[in-house]
Amino acid sequence: MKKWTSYQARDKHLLDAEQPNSELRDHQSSMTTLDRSQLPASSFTYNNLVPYALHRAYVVPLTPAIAPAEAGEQSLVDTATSSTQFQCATYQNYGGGYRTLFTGTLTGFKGGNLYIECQGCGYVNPLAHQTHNNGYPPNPKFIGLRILVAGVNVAESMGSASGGCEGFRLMGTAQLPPGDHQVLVQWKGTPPGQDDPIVTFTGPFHIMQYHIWSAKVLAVGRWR
Amino acid sequence: MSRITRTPYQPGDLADPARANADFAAFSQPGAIDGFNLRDAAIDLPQLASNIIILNTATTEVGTGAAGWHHDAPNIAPSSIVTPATKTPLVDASGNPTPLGPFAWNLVAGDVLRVYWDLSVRPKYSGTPWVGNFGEIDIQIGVTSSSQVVNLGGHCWLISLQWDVTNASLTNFTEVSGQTAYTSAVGGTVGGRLADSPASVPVPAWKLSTLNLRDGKWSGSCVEIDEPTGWTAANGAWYYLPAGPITVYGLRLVIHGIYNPGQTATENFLILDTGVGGANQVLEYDGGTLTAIHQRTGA
Repeated sequence: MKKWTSYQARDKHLLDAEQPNSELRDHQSSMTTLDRSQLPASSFTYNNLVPYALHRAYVVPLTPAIAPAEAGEQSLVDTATSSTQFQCATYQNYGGGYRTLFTGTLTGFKGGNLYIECQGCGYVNPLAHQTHNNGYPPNPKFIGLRILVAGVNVAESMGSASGGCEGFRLMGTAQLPPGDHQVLVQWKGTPPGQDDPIVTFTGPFHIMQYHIWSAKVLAVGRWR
Repeated sequence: MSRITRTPYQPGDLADPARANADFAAFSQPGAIDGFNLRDAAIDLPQLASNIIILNTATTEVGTGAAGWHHDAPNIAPSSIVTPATKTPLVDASGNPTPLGPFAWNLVAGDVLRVYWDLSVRPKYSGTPWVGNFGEIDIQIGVTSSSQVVNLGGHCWLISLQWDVTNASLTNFTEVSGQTAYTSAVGGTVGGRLADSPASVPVPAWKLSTLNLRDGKWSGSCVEIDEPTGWTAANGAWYYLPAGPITVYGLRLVIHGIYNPGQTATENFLILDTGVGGANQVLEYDGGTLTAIHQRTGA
């Protein structure tokens, strides 16, 4: 509550107009020139801030919602695998090259530092790391991962998973200007070598090669 | 904008305390001060309360702690030979549980709970437990009408995150939101949908491969080879966006296994393979950390 500082008007007194006007003007002046020297420490809480004033955390599903059911590679689903395999990437439906796990937009990025990470699980068929015709150099099997933001590679790992079922984590940072920035999380498996079995003798069934599941992305933008 | 405008007092007006006090009260109205009243760059970190972004953090050593990284006295988690798998909570060198907590974090919509963990582990096995069990395929031997059975090497242990959202006694741990308990009947055993596995990280139970496969066939010089996974690190993460208020009192990690890839007609699973379990198939573990961050998304 503002208080009178020089003269308090009393009931039925004749008013000197400049007295309250001056008083009010003084207060208004002080109100309109608040700066950090006049603001008590910790005087502003989170509720005083506009949304995303200082930072913004983006958690998959990024916008728009793009997370498939298993939060992993879902466009390569081979139903011709046997019951104790995944329905996943086989050499019947995947021949190598990067494929996109997630795509999304960092909406309303105000400019500053971006931290982004991806954690998930992957399977890599380990049987054909080193074969007769690919004995030296061998044909190592692995899943590679990369994260692109606004078309720039901010994190990459070429051996995130290399045999059987494993977990992986990839993280990176970038300095970005303001804007809505697109994020791509992509994976890449080793293409088939010339000796790799691609079907079983019995069945025949296709043979699982690569799969990714429970992949999740968290990004945090800090504007200062 | 919060500019306060009042009719000026005119010469000859009688003093009216009610009006004057109302004018002054106008300057004290809640919400009457906003950006218009502040100079540019008037607010800096000292003017902000301390819980603007990060609301709570906690971290703890799990298992035998950092001292255990010497691998000289690891703890042991057993494999399961019956369904469902027994989940073994991490304990320290004295056998005491090593949860994160207790605390009482009140999460609301607009917050995010970020949990990270790592654990030093070594899967151990004896013989060839995968033979005759899940994951086997056969490969044609040359151009003959016979085949060689090999295993696709998908067997894995799981390290899963649990939370206690009941009370601070930390005696009511359950799977975190969206995480399967791996007790669904599938393929003659039990397992969990991959789609429901956001807070479990696999560790390969062993490393299998072959040498000298030739032209997609098993050649005369082919051999199946295996080697232990060895000491390795399991890293996991989990993010939770609460739809409404919830209080989290603690977190912990559990070990269970051994699982193998599996499927129904429409979904992928990790299925418990009790055939590979046994006294010699264990997961040794020692030190690791479990860290949680309760922060605002900024919304």
